[in-house]
Amino acid sequence: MHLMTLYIGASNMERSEEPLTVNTPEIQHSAVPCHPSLENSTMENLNKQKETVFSLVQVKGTWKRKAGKNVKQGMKGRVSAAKIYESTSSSGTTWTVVTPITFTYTVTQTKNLLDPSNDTLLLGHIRDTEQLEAVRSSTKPLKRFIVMDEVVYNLYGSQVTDYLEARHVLYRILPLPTTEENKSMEMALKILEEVHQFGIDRRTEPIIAIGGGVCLDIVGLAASLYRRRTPYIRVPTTLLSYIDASVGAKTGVNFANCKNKLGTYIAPVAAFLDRSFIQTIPRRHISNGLAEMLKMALMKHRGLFELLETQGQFLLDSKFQSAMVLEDDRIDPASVSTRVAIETMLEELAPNLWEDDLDRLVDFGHLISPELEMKVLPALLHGEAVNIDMAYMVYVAREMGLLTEEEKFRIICCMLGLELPVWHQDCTFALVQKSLCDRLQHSGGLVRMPLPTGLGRAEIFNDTNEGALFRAYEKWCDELSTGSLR
Amino acid sequence: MSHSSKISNSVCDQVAEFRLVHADSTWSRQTAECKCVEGRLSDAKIYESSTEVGVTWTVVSPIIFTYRVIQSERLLDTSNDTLLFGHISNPAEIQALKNNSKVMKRFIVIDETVNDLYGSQVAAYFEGRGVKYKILHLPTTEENKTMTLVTSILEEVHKFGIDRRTEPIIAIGGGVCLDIAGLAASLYRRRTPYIRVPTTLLAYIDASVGAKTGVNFANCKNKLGSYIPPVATFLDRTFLCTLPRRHISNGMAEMLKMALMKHKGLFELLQKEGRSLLDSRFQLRIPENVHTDAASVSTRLAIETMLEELAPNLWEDDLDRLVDFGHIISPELEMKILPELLHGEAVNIDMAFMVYVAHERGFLTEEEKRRIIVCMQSLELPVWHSDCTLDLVQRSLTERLKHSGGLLRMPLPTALGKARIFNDIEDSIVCQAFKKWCDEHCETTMKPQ
Repeated sequence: MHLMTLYIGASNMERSEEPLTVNTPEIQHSAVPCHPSLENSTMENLNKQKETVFSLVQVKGTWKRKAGKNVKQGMKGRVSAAKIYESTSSSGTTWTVVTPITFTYTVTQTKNLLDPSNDTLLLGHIRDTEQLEAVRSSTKPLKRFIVMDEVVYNLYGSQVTDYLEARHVLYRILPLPTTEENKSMEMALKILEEVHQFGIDRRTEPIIAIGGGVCLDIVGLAASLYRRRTPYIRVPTTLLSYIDASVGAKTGVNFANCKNKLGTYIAPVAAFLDRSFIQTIPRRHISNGLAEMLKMALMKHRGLFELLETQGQFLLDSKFQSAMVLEDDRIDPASVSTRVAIETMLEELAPNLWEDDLDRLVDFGHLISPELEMKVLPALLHGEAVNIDMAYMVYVAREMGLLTEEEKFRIICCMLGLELPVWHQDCTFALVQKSLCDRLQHSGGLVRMPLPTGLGRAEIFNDTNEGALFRAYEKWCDELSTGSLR
Repeated sequence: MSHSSKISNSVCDQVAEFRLVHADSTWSRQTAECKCVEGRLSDAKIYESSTEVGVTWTVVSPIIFTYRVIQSERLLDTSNDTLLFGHISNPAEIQALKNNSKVMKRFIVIDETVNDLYGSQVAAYFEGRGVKYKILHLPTTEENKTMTLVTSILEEVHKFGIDRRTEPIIAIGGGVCLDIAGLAASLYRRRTPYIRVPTTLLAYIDASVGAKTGVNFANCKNKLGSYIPPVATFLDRTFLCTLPRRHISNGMAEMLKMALMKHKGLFELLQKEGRSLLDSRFQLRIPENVHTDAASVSTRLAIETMLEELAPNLWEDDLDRLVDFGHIISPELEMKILPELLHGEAVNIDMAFMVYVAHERGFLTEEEKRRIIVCMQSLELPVWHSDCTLDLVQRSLTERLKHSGGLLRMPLPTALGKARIFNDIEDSIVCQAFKKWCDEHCETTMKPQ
């Protein structure tokens, strides 16, 4: 016993403010093993124990815990935002660690991203002005690893190469066919083998992904895994990724024939949005992106909906290349619509980056479409599948009295105006039911169905009944299976 | 949208800060002055600024990671709730689950060797609690610590089917098992809660207490992984009594690491009691002395010091880490001669060499150096290895530079139980220390069986 006191004493000397752990006043010896049905289970004892909260202060390179929640940052050292809570019982000690990790990322609109005089691609992710200066004045050549979707590479590969050459960057460009079918862990690992061979600095040489959503998702996952976190940058080249994939944190690959079953919530350090990439996008893919824009409009923004109603064809025809300032100072629909789409998306994603809350308006159009998309792969593009889902859900909303007939009609007309499919024969009622069943399992036992309650307004519902869903389905097929509105 | 050409060039000009408020099922942004929407306020913020080429938005979003590390006795006793509910801090929530007639499900990943010893007890626990379970036992070794193993675990998890948030995957085993299962869980549905039950001493005080998960890649240790902590770690010391002696030493290396970096008292405890801790396998000799027994005290101190260093730096924002001591040269050494050295043994060889570096630099006295080496030997840990050549040392230090933003960041003891990070250790010091280290140990060193 004497020797033990010495050690406690020694440990005590190191931390004079530490409560002596030996002197726990309320030690409860559970002499009798507790049956789970008894009130006084081991766990309840544990939870009733007094908890001491410790803050963490760094002094001379070492972190020390100090009792108290609000330890003032003083001359002593840096105080962490993390806290440790400690309580002791007869079985031992329980520590609870609470650590906030802050994710910061930038979404930057720019023009002429591949013009060698534009710094953005290489330096746009650096927010700290000092750091930026240091990099600019350094003679050391920059190193960058770039993954490009194959199709994008054929169109823009030489421009990207010219940019990097002109900026004297040590680079490696990896062109890959990034499709929904090969969106797998194997592809992510293949990318990582190349990254590893090339060699990048752990923190200062972000991997750059240039392509559509699939490309950005796969590269994002690869980067998240490498060294447990490697910064990466997204350059979306499709409209869909411009307003959707680039703006949130999600990365992922498909697994066991399910969409995005594996992935992370690690955001890129930055996303660089250059509208000019969209000019080489086929018309069908512009519609595809418009579906996600419409989603945000239906959920949150009447003004955006009306813009898509009236300007949808213009946007399709002009491929979002209309100038920012039009003649007569008219408002440019491309600028406004992309801006509003991103803003509304950021509003919904930023406070729920890791999906702590499973009630998400942005899930609209994503309850049934994953199953449908995977089933008929590659017949439907992602946005097309989303739109079919949304069209059906509009009928559900109508059936539940949330929308008027006029509103329903306007929405479907708008969808057709954007040249999006509003029905699909493979979207059977069985598929609908299966999707909703999966949704239940995937969302903690609640269906959490976002439905429009007006134009540009929505709510989450958990109590949709089978009857309403079926009636809506019948009407939907009845009215839209011919491909146009009867 | 007005005349955008009139807006100033500078991006920093006029940055608007938006808070985010939740009301009527929707999140709305609002400036601090405008209080038009009442509702739940998020900790996240959006900053916006405009230039002539477009808008820049900056999202700042704090995510809170909470995890519990719970010491528990008789974890596999059916009367002990911990394994099922220990990750839940709210007693009302636990009561609700107990009252609910719905059958709970659990997927368990267990190391094969551990399964041979405890598999039937684990099965009996879940049977006894009426839980629908699947036990997946796998050989988890350093050599098969790969992404392939991760995906094969996930195939089984997917087939079994678990709730997205309320049915944590449970990993029972040593560090390798916990790392692999943790990575699998992190990836599934982008985040699936998981629980660690360490069965080796090393895992008990190290792997279980931090956030890191990982697998090896391209012949490098832990090249792929995540920083997602488990929802809880359950520490039951009785698992240690079936550990071979060598593996107890292995774990004590990490304990010694913390002692050398931060805790003189722990070092002295290991000096005096190390041998008997080895003999007793960290089991209590006198149950009533649970709070003063060397086994209890040493494990508690090891965990506390580890948590102190990990909690404020969970995602390694700061690459200066005292816990890196013993981990600068050992990764290369360990992988080079796999499977000859256990992780802790490699760590100890690294630490022993670094103690010589510290002495050469004048941070440690000859006496302190001697005390440390003697302590290591009493813990039956190797203090030297013929495959740890000067070439390997120098290669590791170069790798360290590359891996740590161009700085060496070498933790070195500056006294017993005190340490600092150094960036300026000259190659000549390294060579001199290496020579002395070899001179003093290559003949007499104890090689691991």
